[in-house]
Amino acid sequence: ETWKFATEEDKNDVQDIFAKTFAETIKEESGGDIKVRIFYYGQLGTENDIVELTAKGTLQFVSVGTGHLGSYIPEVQALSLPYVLGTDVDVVRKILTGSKTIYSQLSDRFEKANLKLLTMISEGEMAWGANKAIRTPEDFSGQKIRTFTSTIPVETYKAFGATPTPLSWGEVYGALQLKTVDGMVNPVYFIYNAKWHEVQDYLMFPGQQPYVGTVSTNSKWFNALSEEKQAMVHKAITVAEQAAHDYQLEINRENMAKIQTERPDLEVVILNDDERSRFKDLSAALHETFYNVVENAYAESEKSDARENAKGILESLIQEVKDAS
Amino acid sequence: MDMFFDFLKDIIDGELDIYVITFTLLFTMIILLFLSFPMVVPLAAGALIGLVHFSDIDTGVMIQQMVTGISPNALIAVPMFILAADIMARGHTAHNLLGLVEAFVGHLRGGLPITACISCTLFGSVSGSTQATVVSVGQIMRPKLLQAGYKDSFVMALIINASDIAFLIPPSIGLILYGTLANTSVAELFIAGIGPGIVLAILFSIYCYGYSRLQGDRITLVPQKSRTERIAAFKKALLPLGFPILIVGGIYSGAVTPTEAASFSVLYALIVECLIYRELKLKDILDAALGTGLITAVVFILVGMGQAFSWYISFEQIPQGLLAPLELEGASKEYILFIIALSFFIGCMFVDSLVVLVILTPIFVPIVAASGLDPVLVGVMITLQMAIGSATPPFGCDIFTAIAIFNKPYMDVIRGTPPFIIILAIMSALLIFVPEIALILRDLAFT
Amino acid sequence: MKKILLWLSNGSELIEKFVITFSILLIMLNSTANAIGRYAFDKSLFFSEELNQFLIVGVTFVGFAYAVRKGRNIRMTALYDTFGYTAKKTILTMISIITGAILIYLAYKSVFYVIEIKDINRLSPAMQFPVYIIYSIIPLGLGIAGLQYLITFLMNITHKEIYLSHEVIEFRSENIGV
Ligand code: NA
Ligand code: NA
Repeated sequence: ETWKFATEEDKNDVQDIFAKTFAETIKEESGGDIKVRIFYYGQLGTENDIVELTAKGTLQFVSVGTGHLGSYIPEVQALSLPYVLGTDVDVVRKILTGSKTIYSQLSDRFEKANLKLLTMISEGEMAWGANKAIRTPEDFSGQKIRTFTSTIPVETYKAFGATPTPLSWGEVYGALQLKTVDGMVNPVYFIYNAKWHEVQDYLMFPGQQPYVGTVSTNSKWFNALSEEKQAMVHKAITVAEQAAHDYQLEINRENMAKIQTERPDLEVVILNDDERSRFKDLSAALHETFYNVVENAYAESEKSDARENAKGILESLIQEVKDAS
Repeated sequence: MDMFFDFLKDIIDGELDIYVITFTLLFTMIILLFLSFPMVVPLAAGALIGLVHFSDIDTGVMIQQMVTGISPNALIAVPMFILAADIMARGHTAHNLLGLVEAFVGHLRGGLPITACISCTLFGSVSGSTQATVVSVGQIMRPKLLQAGYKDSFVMALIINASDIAFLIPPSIGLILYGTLANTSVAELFIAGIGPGIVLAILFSIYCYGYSRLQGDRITLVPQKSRTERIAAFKKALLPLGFPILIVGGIYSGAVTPTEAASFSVLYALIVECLIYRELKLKDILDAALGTGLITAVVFILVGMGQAFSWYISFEQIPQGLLAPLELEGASKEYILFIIALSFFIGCMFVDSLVVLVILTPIFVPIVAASGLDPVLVGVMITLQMAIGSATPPFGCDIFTAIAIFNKPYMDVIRGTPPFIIILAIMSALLIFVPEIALILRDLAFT
Repeated sequence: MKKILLWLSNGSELIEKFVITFSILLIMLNSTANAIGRYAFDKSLFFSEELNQFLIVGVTFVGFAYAVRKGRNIRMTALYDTFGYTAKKTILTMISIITGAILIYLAYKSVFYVIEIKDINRLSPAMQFPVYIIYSIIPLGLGIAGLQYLITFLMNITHKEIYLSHEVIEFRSENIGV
């Protein structure tokens, strides 16, 4: 039999390495009986499309960032809030693979969309790109920052003092080059692959959050699998998570080195604790935004429960991060 | 013979072999195409047969993918450029641009068709679509050319092919879309389109001159314009000429994205035609918007259905399978560029060029990246093929546009195209072996 | 009965025209406003792209129905043009029933797609707006287009003329410029 696994990223990006390792492991474990066919960025449509196709059962596995999943499972955007997960590699990994909050409270919400959450992966710290050093919210003033257009990132950069600007992916390079926008936000390996380092003079590391990818399967389909096959999937997920983790660290390091060789004049700014704490304080206001976003997704009668639930998820998540640090 | 029956049996059984699938889908689609089904039907049939007969996938995915196909933000440029061009064609802009060119070269041997070529180049700098160019330049130039004694087959072929120039000169819908799909700077693509656009205009003009010589005394020459007439024509063309400056300036100063520039071109056209020339009334604008929406829908339903079809062939990984024997990995750059050009040329002969772009670009992007080919050069080449395809039988949107506005049967419209297609093939070869035609301006501007 | 159908048809045409014209002009205003806002006032309309996408969905599916009504779909008529009356009549009759059936089928499938989107509660990222409301226009557009073809089929089997659409007879089709 053939299982289908779609990711939102290109060949040799972190999610693709995850999918490849998953496919190899499944092939080995099943003695070659089960093949996993991988689809990468755009082959089967948009991020929304592959999530819907997995929820429907046309595809069996899907990996997308928390931002895109938020259109279906608004609670997952707790992980998109700045300064919730932080950027300590070990803490982030511990939470993303083993958090009680994520794998009991949050994964319940996945079932509603007929999805089953298998694991989450960090793809590295989100760095800010710009043409000036940004250390304070005042530095952000008047800066047009290209973000994903969903509410949480838009409100995040508004809160930080910038002008969040929507722009489709293909237009970003040209827009940065011609200064239609001033900056963008992405993990380092991604910035290098998109060549955006060619058109930015500064890279900032604010310790804000990692880019989080989520791996899910079709819930109904998974539950109907034999126990043996379910165990096989879980094993392959564990192996793939390890591979993606190693790869993420390596490719981010490697691409950072390449950026510095190709652009020796590009300045890297690592915000210190004082500077970070100002942004962290500003981001507290976004928790309210998150509750509103979740509430908005529910019918009138469920709104207050949904809000409480979202609050519970976020608060225990923050507690878990604190305990792990 | 046995092999043939095995093949038929495979088809009937719905056996999964990419060659069987490809053959069945292509065969069905070509039959439906030649039976003159609305273009959306062959694409829908291809997707339906694949999904239901060969794969057993819920056909609901077609609806989802139709929406995905029409969702890229860059597509907004299509209706906006069409609307801008329509407004300009209804008003004075196109007339004034043509008047300028005619005042300077109209009197030469072959002067009128050369005027058409140069006008397409100029009009191209205010319009992003070949169709709009066919309409505006065609409607003004065709009566003059016929009156001067040129054959209608030559005139119509000239107009639908010269519109290709407008597609290469920025702004261009093809370049914007390619840039978006291939994640390549549209600003660089725009600059790179200028060189090939001008070379093409020169090649066409040479042909026009030769054709006019051969026809000899059948063609009456237009008297040379006086200096005062020329100055008057220039003054009249000033406002329309300000247009490309504004658009290109807006993009290169970073004020607007190329997609937004399309909307600004509508705004500019409205200001010039309604406030300054005071030629157009509210009713004209509403009519133009309705006409634009109609064309947009007719094309976009194909883009959407094309995406549904392309989803299916991606799902079965058919393009990768078909391209594998061509051994593109590790091949020479010229060979890869040739294969890309050929694929787009053949694709655009049958399917709307925007649909071909959406289907084929993602397949070639990784190959281009691995080969070290300049993605900007590839974009210009692809856009040239799309432009050629728009005028190449059997299927070409410019041919249909010409049929619609000149009210002529299909065969009459395409009769004169072969010489032009030969010139366009030469242009494609030039681009492969002398890529500097496209890249030199880009390198000057961006390094 | 015929009167009611005619009345419905005219009413539907009026709405189609309005949706198309209004959407195209709104796309223009929306895009220019976003650029001006960003460039001159440092304020982007964060919902601008999403609104354009919604409008394009409207233009495409409603415009498609309108194009079918006007007999304006793109066809490759090289071979068709060489045929005589009987062949043309047969082909167009066949085209209208097959195309109508496919479009009605797609309209039917799109109803389920819209319901799926509603059940899964998909919200647009920027405006947090339920997407299914916008997408409801898809079954409408495809359905009206399909019906147009089915009526054309009926006209073709009950009349002598060759109908391209139920209001456009071959050779008498009006030409709308680009
Ligand atoms: Na152009
Ligand atoms: Na053309």
